[in-house]
Amino acid sequence: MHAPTREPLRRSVQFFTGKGGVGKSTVLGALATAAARAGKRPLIVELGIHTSSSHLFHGPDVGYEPTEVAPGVHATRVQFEPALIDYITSRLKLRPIAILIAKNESLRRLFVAAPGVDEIVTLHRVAQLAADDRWGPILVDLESTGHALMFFDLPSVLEVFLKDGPLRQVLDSATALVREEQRCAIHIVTVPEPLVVNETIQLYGRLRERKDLHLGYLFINRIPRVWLDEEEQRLVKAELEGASAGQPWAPDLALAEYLTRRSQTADKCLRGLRRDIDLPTMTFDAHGEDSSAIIESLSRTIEQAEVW
Amino acid sequence: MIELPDDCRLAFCVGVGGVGKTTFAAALGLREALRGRSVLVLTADPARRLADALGIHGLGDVPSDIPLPSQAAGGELHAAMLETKASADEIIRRAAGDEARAQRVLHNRIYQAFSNTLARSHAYAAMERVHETMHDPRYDLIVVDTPPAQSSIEILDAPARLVRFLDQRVVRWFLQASDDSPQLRGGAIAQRLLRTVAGDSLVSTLTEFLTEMAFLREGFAERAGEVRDLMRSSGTSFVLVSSADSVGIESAKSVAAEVVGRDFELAHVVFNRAFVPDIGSAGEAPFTYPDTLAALAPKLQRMRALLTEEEEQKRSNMVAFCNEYGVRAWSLPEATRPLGDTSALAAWIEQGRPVAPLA
Repeated sequence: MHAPTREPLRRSVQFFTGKGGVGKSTVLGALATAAARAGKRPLIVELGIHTSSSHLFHGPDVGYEPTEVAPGVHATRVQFEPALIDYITSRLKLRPIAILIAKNESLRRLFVAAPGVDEIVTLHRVAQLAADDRWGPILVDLESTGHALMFFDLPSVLEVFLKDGPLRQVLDSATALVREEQRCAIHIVTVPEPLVVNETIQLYGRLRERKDLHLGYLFINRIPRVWLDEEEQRLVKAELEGASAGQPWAPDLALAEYLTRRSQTADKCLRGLRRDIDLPTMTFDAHGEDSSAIIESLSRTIEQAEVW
Repeated sequence: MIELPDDCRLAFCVGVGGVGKTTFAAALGLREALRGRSVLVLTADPARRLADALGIHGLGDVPSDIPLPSQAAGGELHAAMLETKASADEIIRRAAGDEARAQRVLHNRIYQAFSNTLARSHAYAAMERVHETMHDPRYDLIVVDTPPAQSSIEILDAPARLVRFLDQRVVRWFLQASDDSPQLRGGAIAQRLLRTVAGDSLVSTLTEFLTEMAFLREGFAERAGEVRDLMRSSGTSFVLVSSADSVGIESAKSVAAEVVGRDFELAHVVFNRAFVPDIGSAGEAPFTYPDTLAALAPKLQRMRALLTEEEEQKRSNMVAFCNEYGVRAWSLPEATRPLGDTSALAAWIEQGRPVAPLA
C-alpha cells in the first residue's frame, strides 16, 4: 500500500496527541492540506463528539462517512452506533442482522453502557480505515492527553479478561498496527506556554516508557512573533520608566513590553521542550483569527520540509 | 463582577480543554470564599493545574485548606482532587451493604480492569463524590471542575448510564437467557449472537459481573435519581468556560447544546483570554509620538492595530454567542503575569467584565 519509510510523516497512520487548546486540529488540518497537495489521499479521523474539521475548513458537517472538507482532504468522525454496526457486520458478515442487533433496545442498552465496547469499536473502525486503500495517510485526532493514553493503554487493560475470541482479534490487530514502526507514528502537538509545556513533557515521558510505541514529531504551534530587537527593548523600558510615563502613548509602550515578555517566555519554553523532548521538531508561527489563512500558512511551512 | 447567585450551592464548570477551566474554577471558588462563603473546589483532573493555580504543592482526595489572601468574614476555601479508584470502591461498598458481596465485585476482573482506567468510571465516581459532598454541612458551595470536552458531558450522564446498564429487564433477559419462557427466548438468540460477536470468554465474564452487579442496582437507581434531581435543582449552576476566538466559540456552542439538551440550565458563560488588561486600550485623544520613539512608531502602531483587530473580532464573537443563547456572559483578561497564588488569582478574576449583549 505505502512504501515503508523512516520519515514519520510518510507512514500510513498518524496519531496526534496533546493538551486541548494547542491547535491540534489546526496542525492536523495543515498536514492533511499539505499531503493532499503532494498527491496523497489524507483522511482526518475525529474521535470526539465534536467536529473541528468542519469549522476549520468552513466545510460541510463531518459525519461517519468520509466527507471532502477541502480539495483532496477528507474527514470522518467515529460515531458509536455506525461503528458498532460495522464491527458486528465484520463478525456476522450479514449487515441487516448487524443493524438489527445494534438497534435491539435491550442489547443497545448493554452496548452503550458496557465498559470497553465504545473503545473497542473505535479501535476497530480506526483499523478498518487504516486498511482501506482509498486513504493514506489517515490522521487521527486524539482529543485530549487522557484520551490518548486511554487509547494506547486500552489493549493492556482489556488483555486481562479478553483471553480469546473476536474482540481479542480486534485488540491484537489494533495493537499490531500501533506497534508497527513502518506504518504508524504518534506525534505530540504543543504550544510554548509554561503550563502546557509541563504537561507535554509529562505526556512525552509516559509515551516514551511504552517501548512499543513509535513517536514521530513534536509540533510546536503558535510561536509568538518577536517584535523588538534588544536595543528597542531597552528603549521601551527606559521610556516607560522615564519620559513617557503617564503620556498618552504609554499604553502602546506597555503593549510592546508585554508582547516582548510573551515572546521571552515562549523562548524559555522552547528551550525546555528541546532539552527534555528528544524528537524531531517542527515549529509554526502564531497567526490571527482566520482559520483558512492559518491552515494555508502552516501547510506551506510543512511543504518546505519536503517530507513527501 | 463575576458572581454566583446567593442560593447557588453547586457550580459545574464545563467546556473543552485548554480554555483555562481549572484556573477559572479555582478563581471562582476563591471569589465566593472572599464573599464570605465556605467553598470546596473539586477537580477530576489528575494534572496538577488546580494545585498550581492555588499556589500549593499538591492536592489529594481529602480536601486541603487553602489560605485566603485577605480575611473574609467567615469565608473558607478548600480544594480536593478526586482519586477515582478509591471512590469507586467506596461506591460499591456502600451499594452492596454487606462486605462479602462488596468483595465479590471488588475482585471481579472486569471491575478491576475498568474502575481505574476508563473515563466512564471516573465520571461515575466523580458524580458520586459531588452528591456525597453536597450533604457535608461544612460547605455552602461546591465548584466542580469537569474534565475536558467529551468526558465533561460524560460526567453528567454517568449515573443514569450505569442504571440503564443494570436495567432489570436487560440483566434478567441476559442472565436468564437459557430459560425457556417465551419472553426470554429472544434473549437466548441474542446471547448466542453476542457470543459470536464478542466471544465466549467475554460473555461469560460479563455474565459473572452482571450477576454480582445486579444486586446493587436498586442502590444505584436511587442514587442516580437523586443526582439527576440535584443537577436540575435551582441551586445548581452550569458555567460554560470558553475562549473567545472563532474556533473556540464553535466548540463552546457544541458544549452549550449538550448542556441545554439535558434540560440543565446554562446560567453563565465565561470567555477567557478575551482581552489584554490595562494596556488593551491606547489613549483616546490623538497624540504624536516623541522624537525618541519616531523610529519605533510604525511597529508600535502595527502592534496596536493587530491587538485592536483581534479584540474586536473576539468581542463580536462573544456578543453573537450571547444573543444566540440568551445567557449572561463575562469576559476575562489574558493573565499577563503567572497565576500561581491566591492573590494573583483574586486580582485576575476581579478584572472580569460583563459582555454587553446587543440592544
